[in-house]
Amino acid sequence: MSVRTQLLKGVLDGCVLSIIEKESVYGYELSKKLQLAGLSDVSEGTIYPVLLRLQKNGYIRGEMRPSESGPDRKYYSLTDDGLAALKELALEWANIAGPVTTLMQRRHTND
Amino acid sequence: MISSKQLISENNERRKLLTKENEKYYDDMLVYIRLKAKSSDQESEEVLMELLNHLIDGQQDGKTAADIFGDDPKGYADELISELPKAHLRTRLPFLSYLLINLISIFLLVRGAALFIGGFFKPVDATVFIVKSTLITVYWLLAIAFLIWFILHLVENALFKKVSNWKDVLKAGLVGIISFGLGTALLYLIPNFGPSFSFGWLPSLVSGTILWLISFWTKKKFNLF
Repeated sequence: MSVRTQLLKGVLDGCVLSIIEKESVYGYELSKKLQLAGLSDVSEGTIYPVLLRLQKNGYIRGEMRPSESGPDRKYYSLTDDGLAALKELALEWANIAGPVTTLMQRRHTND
Repeated sequence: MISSKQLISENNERRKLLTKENEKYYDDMLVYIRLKAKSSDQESEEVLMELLNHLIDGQQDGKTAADIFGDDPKGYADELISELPKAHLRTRLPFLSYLLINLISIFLLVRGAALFIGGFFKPVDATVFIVKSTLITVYWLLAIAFLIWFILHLVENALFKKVSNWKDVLKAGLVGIISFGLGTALLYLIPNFGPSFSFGWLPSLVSGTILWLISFWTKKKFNLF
């Protein structure tokens, strides 16, 4: 597992929640949106265990819907619990990201 | 909501859209997840359908199953299984009772028919020794459960491998023959003793028919398969 994958693992739940907060999406759309956001080397398959976990925790709700064109898709939307979890995650992330960025940048200037 | 039955038939249709390579990868994962997941069928079929749709979409963008799900299909499937919620035993109860009742009904029907037909050729002894019969019934139920477990175990191990293994077929056959032989031997090894009653071909057929009807009703009522 690459360093990047390991780092991402902890925050991927938050990334997925924040995308679902904007609009309900199905798996393939979600992976496209993650890539578009710049997380291009998240292997696409990794979102499905994450989606299952978030459903189990009650943070998102999945609904299988038939569509007129193409196959049935499972659309995910955020629950109230999910919104609360996302808010907390965002706050925690801000608390970590700031100091970590500063530390990493200071490393550079000291060279 | 789309039922798990509908999802399975849709899955069967849509799988035809996969390339040969992707189909092999997906099929192994499908069988593995269906066998190993302790979740409800609804939940496992939904995630299987999502994976399939993703794979078909990705295929159109020129991606392979390994690009999407990684190089370790078994590890990936295990990860999914560990995140699937476990179904309560209660939801499996109708299926398990169906299986048990159906099995006993078939046994009683076959026994009744055998006694009836055998009676034309030689006098048959329709005495049932309670202790002996109970022991033998328990043996068969355990043996059948073990055989099913053993074969599923072989199938699980054979998945995700390039070559099919003829040794597995041999092993399954051998274990089958041994458990069948042991079951037959028990008939002669366990002495007739203790309380007994006569259970002729007619009551055997009648009780078998009643139990079979009950199992049929269970199947319809709980929409088992």
